[in-house]
Amino acid sequence: MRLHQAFAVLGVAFLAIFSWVFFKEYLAEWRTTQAQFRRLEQEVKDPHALSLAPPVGGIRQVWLTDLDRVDRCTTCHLGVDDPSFARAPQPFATHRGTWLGTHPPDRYGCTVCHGGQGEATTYSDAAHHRLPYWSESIRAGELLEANCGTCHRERAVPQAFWLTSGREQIARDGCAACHDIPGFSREETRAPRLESVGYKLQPTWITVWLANPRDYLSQARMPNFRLTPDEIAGLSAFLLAQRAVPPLDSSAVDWGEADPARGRTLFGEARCVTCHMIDGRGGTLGPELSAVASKVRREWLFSFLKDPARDQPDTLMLRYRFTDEEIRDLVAYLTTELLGTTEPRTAPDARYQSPTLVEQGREAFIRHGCYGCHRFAGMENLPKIGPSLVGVGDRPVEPAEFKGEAVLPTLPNWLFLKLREPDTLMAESRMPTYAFTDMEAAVAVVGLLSIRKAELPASRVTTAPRPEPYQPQGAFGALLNRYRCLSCHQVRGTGGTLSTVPLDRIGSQLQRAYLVDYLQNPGAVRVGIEERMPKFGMTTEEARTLADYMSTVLVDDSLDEPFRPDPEAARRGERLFAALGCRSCHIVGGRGGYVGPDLGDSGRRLKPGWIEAWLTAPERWKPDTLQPNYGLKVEEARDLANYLMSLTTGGTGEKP
Amino acid sequence: MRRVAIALLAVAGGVIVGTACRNGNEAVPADPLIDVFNRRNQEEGLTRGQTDGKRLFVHYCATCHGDAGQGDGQNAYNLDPPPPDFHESLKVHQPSYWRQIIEGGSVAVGRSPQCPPWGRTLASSDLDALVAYLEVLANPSPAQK
Repeated sequence: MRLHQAFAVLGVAFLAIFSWVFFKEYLAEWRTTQAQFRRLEQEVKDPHALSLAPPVGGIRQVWLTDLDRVDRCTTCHLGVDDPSFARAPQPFATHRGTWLGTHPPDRYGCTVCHGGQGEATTYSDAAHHRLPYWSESIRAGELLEANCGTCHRERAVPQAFWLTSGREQIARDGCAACHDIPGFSREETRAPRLESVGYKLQPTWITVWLANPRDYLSQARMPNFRLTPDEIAGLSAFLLAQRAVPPLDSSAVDWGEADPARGRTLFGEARCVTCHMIDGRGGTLGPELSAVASKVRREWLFSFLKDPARDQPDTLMLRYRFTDEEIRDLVAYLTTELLGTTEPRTAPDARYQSPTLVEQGREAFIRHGCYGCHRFAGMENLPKIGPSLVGVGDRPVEPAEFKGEAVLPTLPNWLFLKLREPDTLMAESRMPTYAFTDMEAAVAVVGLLSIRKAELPASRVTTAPRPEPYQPQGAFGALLNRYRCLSCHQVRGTGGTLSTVPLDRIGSQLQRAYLVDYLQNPGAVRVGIEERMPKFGMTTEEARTLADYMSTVLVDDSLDEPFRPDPEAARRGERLFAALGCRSCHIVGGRGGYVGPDLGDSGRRLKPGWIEAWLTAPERWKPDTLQPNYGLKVEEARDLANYLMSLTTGGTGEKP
Repeated sequence: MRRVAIALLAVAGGVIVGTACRNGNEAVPADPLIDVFNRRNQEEGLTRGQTDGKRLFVHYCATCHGDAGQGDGQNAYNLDPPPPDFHESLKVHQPSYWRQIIEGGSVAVGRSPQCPPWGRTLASSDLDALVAYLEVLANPSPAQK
């Protein structure tokens, strides 16, 4: 009897459980949602569209086999690719913008971009809000761009402003000097080599700098390593003992004759502020010079200005053609007037030349990984001292790592706190303290979160092709090297971005005679721009060599075409020039706008084939240009080129 | 038996009441990274589309129209007639009118040709973003004035 009763009870229990399962499945959350959608469909669509629309029922999923993902988001997000639902409430609203056009759901799913748990079929399990057991909840807003970076591996990702800013921040701050970061290399970090730094520095300066670089320069790129006083003393001794290459002999210089006022004039003529900031004004390609008088020795500065590549072979600084007297005056100006706001310094410890202290300094140099940014002879093969950041975007995070701070234990928060204060999350961290603002740290986190662990199939990934290094030889190559053209200009993707004029086809854009003049006397082509090409002091012979090479080699054959001046076409072009309102941005005949270059001397400066190509499709040559595309016909572009080539009397070049 | 049942019920009741009556709230954990972006968005007071529009405006338009669209850009003084003050002039027309000017140039609505056509340079979504930002400029909140 007992067994029968037991079976009866069990049978009823099984029946109850089975019924409960079917009942629960019938009452699933997504079924209710889909019923709501069907009602909404009746209101939003007209009967004809309704009859054509596919029936809505059952779980819908996208299965991305190459990424091993299943996304069931469209089970509830039913109107996401249907424009009729633009004003519907969530979860039925159409996807914002044109993203689904470029990233169709059947190829990308949803979680690739948005994160969350794709296999879920309920609101909370999909990780719309943070779940304790799913590491990546749905990202929104700025953090969403980190997911763009999973596939878009190029440095600048179009339409992803925060990700691009973050990646540029990572490049600028030289994280790759200490950490392995895919897509970044330590060569991008610009810190001087230190093998001869003992000749360069004033001893009173180095202790202040090592204690806190921002005490010397508010915009110092070097972070604060939180060094102990012993380490500072050791490193000072070590650095001041580095005397590999002595500076050029300046004993013949009569410093008593130096004229700082003339030095200041030379400083202006050479346009040093294009690269060097002084008191908040100027460029950032070179170090800020506001307080350089307290930093460098006079003899070293003389040698550096005479031949910058002597102890810094990779320097971006060019070799001007100054005479010794001019350099003397420049040095006098720099070392007497550019004092910044330095307070009086204490003399360094007299022990600083002892060998034990130098050895301690070398150990500190290696322990803190200084060689990562400051490349040093003999230390090329030492490993990077920071942990590898490959896959950091998928790093698992334990609540215990937050050391009791009341912070949501997510990876973005961990990275943010680590960047703001590196020594709080882990007690013994060698990572230095950068003076990031909140925004800088936040965008860097967005950049870091895009570095994921999973290997993606090649069909999913976009990268920018690595540029071939451009190293011309011969007389042109020697001049390019001396005047460091590639510090500011680019050829075939190699070089700097200070200038907005890449040199790839400069020979087809500018006339040879103009180039010869310009290289010797760079004028202001566009009014109101702070950064100007410096006056190098080059000889006419050098200018001719450069111009000849550029006109022969750096050309684009598609832009070269024969040109015959045609006065009738020029008149039509002049009328078109007025009708299009070109003068609102360009100066012609001394009158006009300040946005684009002065066109008054186009007949002596530009080439007609280039003018036509530029006017026809400017964004093809310069993607961000302010020159609009007027949809000109071929004859219209030709007429305008004719008109511009007839203008030979203007120009806002500097008067020699 | 009865006393045991009453005792058990009393204990159960005590446990239920005890767990319900916990003192105070636990500290709500902070979310510092999201807070940085939220703070910035609050200060700017712009939606995401408006922020995209603002970036485009600063790059393409501000040199003539000024950073806040008040007709005081560095090039404005070279223009005759000068660009208007958007705080006043935008309200006169519909957003579709503004979009016509941005896309086809000021000459497309019968004005001088000084504002160039951007319809072939900018994508349709960019034009929408610019119009969204112009709506902000037309009705500046006190934070944006």
